[in-house]
Amino acid sequence: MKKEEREFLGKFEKSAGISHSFSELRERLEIPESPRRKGVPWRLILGVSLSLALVLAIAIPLSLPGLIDGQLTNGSSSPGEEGVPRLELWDDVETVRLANPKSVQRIYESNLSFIGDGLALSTQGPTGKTRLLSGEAIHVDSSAFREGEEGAYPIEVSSDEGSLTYEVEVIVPEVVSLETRFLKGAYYEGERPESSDFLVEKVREDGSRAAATDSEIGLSWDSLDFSQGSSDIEIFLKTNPSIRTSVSVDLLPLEEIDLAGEYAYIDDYCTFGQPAVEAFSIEEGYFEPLYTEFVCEGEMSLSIEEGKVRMKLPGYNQGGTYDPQTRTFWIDGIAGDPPFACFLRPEGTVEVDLSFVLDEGREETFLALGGYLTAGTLDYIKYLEGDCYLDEEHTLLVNEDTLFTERTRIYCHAEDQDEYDAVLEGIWVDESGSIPTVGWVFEDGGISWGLGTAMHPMSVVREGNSLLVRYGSFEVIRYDIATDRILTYQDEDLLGGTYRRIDRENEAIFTLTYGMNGRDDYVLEKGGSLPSYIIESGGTSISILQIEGYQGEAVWEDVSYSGTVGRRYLSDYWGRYGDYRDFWQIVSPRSLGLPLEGEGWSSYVFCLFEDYELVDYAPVQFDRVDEGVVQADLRFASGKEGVLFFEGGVLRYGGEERAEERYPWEGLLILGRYVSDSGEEIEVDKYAQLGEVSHREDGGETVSSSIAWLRGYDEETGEGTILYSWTSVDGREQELRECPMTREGDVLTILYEGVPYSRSLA
Amino acid sequence: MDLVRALKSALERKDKEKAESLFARLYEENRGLVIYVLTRYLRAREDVEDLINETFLDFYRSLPTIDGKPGPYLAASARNKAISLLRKRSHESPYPEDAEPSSPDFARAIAFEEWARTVVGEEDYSIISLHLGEGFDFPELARRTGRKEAEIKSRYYRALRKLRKGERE
Repeated sequence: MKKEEREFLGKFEKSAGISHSFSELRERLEIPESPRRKGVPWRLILGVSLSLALVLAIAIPLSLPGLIDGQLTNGSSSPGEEGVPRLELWDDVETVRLANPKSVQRIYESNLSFIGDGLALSTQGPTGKTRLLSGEAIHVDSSAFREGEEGAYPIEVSSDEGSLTYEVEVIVPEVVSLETRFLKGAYYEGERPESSDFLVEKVREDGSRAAATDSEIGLSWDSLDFSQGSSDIEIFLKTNPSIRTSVSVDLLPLEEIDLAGEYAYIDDYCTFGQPAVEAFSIEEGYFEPLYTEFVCEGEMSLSIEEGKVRMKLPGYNQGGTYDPQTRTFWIDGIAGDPPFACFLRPEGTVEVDLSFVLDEGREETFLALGGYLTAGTLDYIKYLEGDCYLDEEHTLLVNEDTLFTERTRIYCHAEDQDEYDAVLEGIWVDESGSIPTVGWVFEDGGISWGLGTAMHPMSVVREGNSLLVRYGSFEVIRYDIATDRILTYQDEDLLGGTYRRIDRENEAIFTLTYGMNGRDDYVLEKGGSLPSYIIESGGTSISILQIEGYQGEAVWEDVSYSGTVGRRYLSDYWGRYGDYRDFWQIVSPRSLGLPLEGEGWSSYVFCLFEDYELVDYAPVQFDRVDEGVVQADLRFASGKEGVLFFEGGVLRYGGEERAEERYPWEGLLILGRYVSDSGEEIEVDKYAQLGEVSHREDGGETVSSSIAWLRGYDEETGEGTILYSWTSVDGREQELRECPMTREGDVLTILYEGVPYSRSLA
Repeated sequence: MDLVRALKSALERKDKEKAESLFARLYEENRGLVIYVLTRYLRAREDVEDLINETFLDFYRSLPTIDGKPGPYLAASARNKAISLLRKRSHESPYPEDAEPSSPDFARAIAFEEWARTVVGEEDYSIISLHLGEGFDFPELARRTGRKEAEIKSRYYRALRKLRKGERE
């Protein structure tokens, strides 16, 4: 079972609240025991690694010349309309900070001029999203800087989304020379020099030394002729180009590349933040995965393809490609997912461990790249668990300036500012469905989803013009002060939903209880009524309400009824109804390549097939329930109209009833495996599918099947045409393709993708 | 060596200590799956807890005939036991979609599933539910939806990842 499955099932199990332990099961297991083992004491297993106990976390909070955070206006609570407290908006966004502080030069020797390279701002808007602003999006005012004059000077960095001022310092000694060390070892064909490849130290006139930041290092070279075997690279200070030195570097062919090392990955599949995590390591040609999505491992075999290094691992489809131009090691995605961009960890990178508090027992390891946690990593942790600290007492705050010099454990804490509870108090309405329902409910310092569910404790923290509400690990929502809405997020840039306050003056809650504790709370305008069924998800599902004692009367105040709720999904009716020659079919229009507007994953068509041929089709969706029967109005491509009835597992149309045929092609002559001249196989199966057979290295096989139809088929001879639904690897393109079937003697042949595949009937 | 083979081997050697620890591991790794399957069908906590025991005991007794991963066998066994129990009780439907979808025992689990549906969408959640809960394999799901098996797989794992990293709505 994969990690994702285990996590999902674990969360489900937790919510189901089943208390079951192995101990009660163990007593009922009758495990045989070898007589010779009787009386032997159980071995003691030392489960604690001594090395763990010896690891002591050491991290140095870096003291830098006066960084001044973005100035904020204090907010305050004030009563809003109808007694609902409202918060005042702050003029500035909550955080404006320097991004990549490590690359910002803050100390200038007296013969250096100011440089704005590497400056970028990280800002957080009302929805909590962090944005990186650089280049033309920011303006740097260094007018106060006095080159060569000892002192501290403010530098202002501004943008449309906020500004900040940081200090730089000019010191007396001048830089007289540079000392460099080439960290990379060699360049391989296609790679270009980068400043981070070099460790550059500035040597001052008083003999002291200081590391140059990446942003102040300039590189130049005449040409990189890899046939020459080496080249000189000029290294200089951009702040004073006359201070320079030269380093000879090896230039090697790509065939000689050494990919050994530890690699990092910026996990960009998070709702907030993009944490830097361990990706994989390569040692003596052995690839070892460290990131959860990488399932391949083993001895690498490398080949050069179009100026890139292709890596394969025996027994795995997942491999990788190193692109020397970008120095990116792309690890293949699984099952059509995009590849993962990995990179060699920069010098000084260390692991930072975190034990989650809200999600007890969860452990994650992040990377401090070059010794620093990135803004994306801190955002990710902060969103889930609160601020990070170096100590368990939560006094030493971790930020982007905190330098980690060796593996370190950090601690999280989300402060609860309960003065904001009153702002959230009440019922919030989800308007995404056809009938609004009760969404979030805040009451007595707790939070629940709907009126009938258990309350969770929560912590509320003000962040700029929003409140961040955490009530569990990965369970975070945000209240936006400006719009007075609760926001939830589904994906990185996708808003999951917005919720408004209930309008108690004009709205009432219709509570429907069903089963022993089932409950739905509908929000109705006063004077409105609840229908007997609710069509959902564009007509692909329907809820049928049977409410005892309620006949659609107008609702003027909160009411509660009991009844039953039955849900049906159109996808349950996917399939063929009838025999293999004349049948109805409910199917995605994409499969048949039908030109329907607005079609997508959840759209369906009802098709009429006669003598194998598609004679008519109509889009289908649930439209109503009449006398307990779900119905759909059909408007066929031919212009004909009709009604489709869904009765249990049976369809009724045109006065005829048909049940689903699970094996539409069962017993047909054409079923079986077909082999090409080169030994490749395809299969036609009883499910009415055509599939490619691939043999795995473990001896097993995989059949990748597509839905299929017959045309002009003769069961006597097996001749005719198979039409199958072809889909591109990324799933975006789909079309119907033809495979003619012919017979010579006892040999049936299918022309699949232009290649003949045959099968003997003998 | 996989867990089932290791367990069989320990039993053959009558190494009780080893067999017990392996079975405990197998139980820990698969208990969530068994609970997920059983709660598709059953409304009472006691029923679920009883059938967890029965499912694992049945697995243990059938070990000589089982090869490969334990998950599919346990899921199928749990499903059969649940349906069998419901059939014995004539007043309950064996088909969960027709049954009343809630109980006091599992209200939070149902709320969790409602959340999961909103996070990944109805269609993708149905892939999770059909695969884990109903035991449909990916080729079967591909047949039902008219999609490539690879796409179904991709949607399945992407949806699980989304649930792992998503927040409650």
